[in-house]
Amino acid sequence: MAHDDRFKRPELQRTTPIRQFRDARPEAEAAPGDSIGRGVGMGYRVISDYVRRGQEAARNFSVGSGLPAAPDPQQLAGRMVQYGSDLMAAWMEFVELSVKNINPAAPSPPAEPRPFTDLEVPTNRGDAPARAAAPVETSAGAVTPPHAEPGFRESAGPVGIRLEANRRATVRLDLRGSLEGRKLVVHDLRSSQAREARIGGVVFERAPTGALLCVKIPDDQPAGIYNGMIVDEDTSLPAGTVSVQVEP
Amino acid sequence: MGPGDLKVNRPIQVAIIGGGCAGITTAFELSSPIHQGRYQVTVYQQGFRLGGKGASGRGPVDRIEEHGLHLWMGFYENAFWMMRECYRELARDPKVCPLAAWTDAFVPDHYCAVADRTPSGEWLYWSVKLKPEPGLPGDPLPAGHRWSVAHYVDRSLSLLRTLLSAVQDRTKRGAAEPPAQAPPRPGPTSDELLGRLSELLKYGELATLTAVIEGVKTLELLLRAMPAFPAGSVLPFYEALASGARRQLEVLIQTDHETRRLWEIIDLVIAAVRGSLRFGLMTDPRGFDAIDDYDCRDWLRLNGASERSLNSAFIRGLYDLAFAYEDGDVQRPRVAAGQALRGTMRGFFTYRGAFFWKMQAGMGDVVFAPLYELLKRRGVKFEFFHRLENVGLSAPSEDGRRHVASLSFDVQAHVEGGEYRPLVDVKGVPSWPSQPDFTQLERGQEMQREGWDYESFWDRRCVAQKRLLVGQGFDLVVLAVSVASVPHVCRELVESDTRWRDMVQHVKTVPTQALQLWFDTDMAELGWREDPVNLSGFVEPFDTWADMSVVAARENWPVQPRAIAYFCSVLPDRPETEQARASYPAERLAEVRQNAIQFMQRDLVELWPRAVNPAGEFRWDLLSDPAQATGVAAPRGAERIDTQYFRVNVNPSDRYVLALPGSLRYRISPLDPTYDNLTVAGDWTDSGFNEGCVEAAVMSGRLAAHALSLEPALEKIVGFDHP
Repeated sequence: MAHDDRFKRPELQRTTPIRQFRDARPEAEAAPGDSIGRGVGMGYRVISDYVRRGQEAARNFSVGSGLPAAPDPQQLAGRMVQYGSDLMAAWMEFVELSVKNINPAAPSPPAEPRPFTDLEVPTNRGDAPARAAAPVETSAGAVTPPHAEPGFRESAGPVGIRLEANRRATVRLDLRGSLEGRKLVVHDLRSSQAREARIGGVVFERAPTGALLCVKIPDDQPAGIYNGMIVDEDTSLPAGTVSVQVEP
Repeated sequence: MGPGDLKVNRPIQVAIIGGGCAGITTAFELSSPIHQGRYQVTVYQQGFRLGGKGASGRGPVDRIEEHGLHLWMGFYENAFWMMRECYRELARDPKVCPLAAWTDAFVPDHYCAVADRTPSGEWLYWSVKLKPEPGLPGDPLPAGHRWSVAHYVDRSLSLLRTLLSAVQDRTKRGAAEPPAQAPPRPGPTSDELLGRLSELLKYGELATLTAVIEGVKTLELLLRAMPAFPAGSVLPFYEALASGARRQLEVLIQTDHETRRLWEIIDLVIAAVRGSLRFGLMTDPRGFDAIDDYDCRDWLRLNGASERSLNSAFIRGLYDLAFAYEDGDVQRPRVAAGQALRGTMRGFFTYRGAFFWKMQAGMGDVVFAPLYELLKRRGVKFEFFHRLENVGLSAPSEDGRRHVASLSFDVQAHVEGGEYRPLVDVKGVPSWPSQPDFTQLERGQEMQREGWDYESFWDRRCVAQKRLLVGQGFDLVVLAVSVASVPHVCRELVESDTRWRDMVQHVKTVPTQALQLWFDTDMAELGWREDPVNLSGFVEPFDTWADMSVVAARENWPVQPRAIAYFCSVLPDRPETEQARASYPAERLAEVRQNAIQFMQRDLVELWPRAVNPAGEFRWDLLSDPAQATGVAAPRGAERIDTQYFRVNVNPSDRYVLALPGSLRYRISPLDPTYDNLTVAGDWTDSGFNEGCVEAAVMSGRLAAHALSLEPALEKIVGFDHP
């Protein structure tokens, strides 16, 4: 066989592995907005629940001992609050940036973190005065304070909350940006504790002083913490969250 | 002219040099019915058996004697696919052969264990039953299936959350009820006060842990929802989580060993995820290769893993399983971080059926005997007793390219009748013997008497030379010898091609040692109280142990042993000047024998407390003696080790291939087109999964087949396209 007639290897289309597919992402298990909403809700729930339990533990310890609160329990509570604050700050930064990442055209978050409306953010590090929580309307329409505890921030926006419920419940609202000119819808509130349970019909209504968030808790609603996403209907971008804690 | 452009009406002659996993895989692919006989394949094999580092033999009483300890892992998709196809096509009769189906030959093994030494010096064993995962290895993957770093980060976060929950559960069990439940009681004593403070502390830690767990959950959900990975924004959040978790670690680490182990893994997972984010592995086109210049431990340390975690049993076990000690020095653990991460992710997150699969006989019997039978049936030729001496290159052509012009072999023996029949039947299972059948060889009795060792690199005896020329004896060549053999058999290539020279310099290998013990008593009576395990991270000289009692039924003892244990480990290397001595293999074998005796007298008591007598001496009489039935008195004391099987793997073809940091870029791919009639195959090549294992060898063999025939398509080689 002449030299040129040797059998040779065929030409290969490629000789290296593909290490990174451009669209190499696992299948999304939920729509972005829904996931973020759930993430936001869970974050709220965790932090508030965590702080509450830590505070209860510290308080009960003090009561149980029959002694004035010793420095150590306070220190412990402060430590827990510190953890929570750190976590919360990082978490919020992440959510904000992530939302922006989903749609780069989305408005940047404010330079200074905007205070949450009626969110039980721990601030009792000694550097912030204790304040009353935001007003909450009961089903009777009478404005009553929520279960005010030291260390809560007051409502900062022109949004009121009307709560219709025959038992104790707490509503927390995190609303980003101005309401003006925006049409906001609230997704059904869901609970990670009672997966089938929902709180629907949560809406924003106009009120003489601004807007009113209306929440109605059915009598047979299982106790738990329910979270829902607020979405700007025009842009489909997340605009905040609503969290409702229904007591047993 | 290529295989798709035949000008003459004859099959293309392919010479495959080396009958290990990779070479046999290439033969399997090229002899596939889809090629309709286009390739006439001949496998040239030194000595009398196939298998390479996977070879096994039958010794006295047909006991199985392995090259080392082999466990198949549940992510060996290519290897299992081939074996399933092989058994299916071979269609053995189950009435005749107990290993008729692949499910007879491979059995799921869910137990994995590591040995862990406490600060007080006590050995503890951490045995984990890894849950069965859906499917079976080798099953078709879903259409469009792709792996990604993001997928692994996602899985890592799920694992992290599970582990954190496990710690939380343990902490809950350890902590008292929350103080809220405690009845008010005035006037506690100072001790009570301290106790309650401690409870509160635990409760507080628990609450914080809850926050961390939920944070991880949030991260998981958000990562899944992102259309593109927001690495910059994830890191601060993840750092906060990691910080929170680590603060927990330092408190909880003191609680108990189980919690400590959990936390060590949590710490490692945190470091791996953090590193994946910090190094941009999600989007780096090199995938995990991007960090292959780092040692795995160094890279994890760089990303915040604690020294405690880096020296944990888990990490030691991973290094042990990969013999990842440069020059065999256990003080120099080194493995490329990217490949280590790839292997770990594949191992833990992509296995199907079971984490481990255990062979039900020797690897030669389970893997290479059926492949040999099938390939013979397909028309593949086997030339045993052919030792490659040189790959001859052509003069450079006008464009400067060269090709393989000749192959030179030493013929170690002439076979009576021309064809060597290598297999023996053991209880219905076609098996490889540990010694050649000299009766089939010309001058066989004389050779046996003179002690010809056809597998020894140091025994250079031969009866003839054979030289094949391109276009006459072969058209295309698959070089499927081990990389440590390359300098000896490819001198021209190494001298003339800087890439080959760099490869043999940087892709290093190490010798290994193996020990097999048979017992007249079972593991429980030896004092092992756990399930049958595969354990790593134990003491040198034998850091890895597998309970192989399951193969006893495949052997031919007058009285079946009740327990069989295989051990293996790396063996410290020696300078090349020592290796050149003719006595070198015998010297090293004697060293392994001494290691075995020392290990059994000193260390085995840690595994099996009842294997020693009240005086603390190993009970040598527990060892099964294959000569027992012949009436020959068994050796007494430590001399009884000679009734067992131990071996040293110092032949260049036997040495284990390392994946050292910074070395993987020097590997040459089977797809490399430099030589137009040559490709390479073996776990030393750039196969996409660059670690010494069966799966890497099979992938490489499939790539070599693709290089010659365009089949299988690269997309069918599972895990080749992988970060």
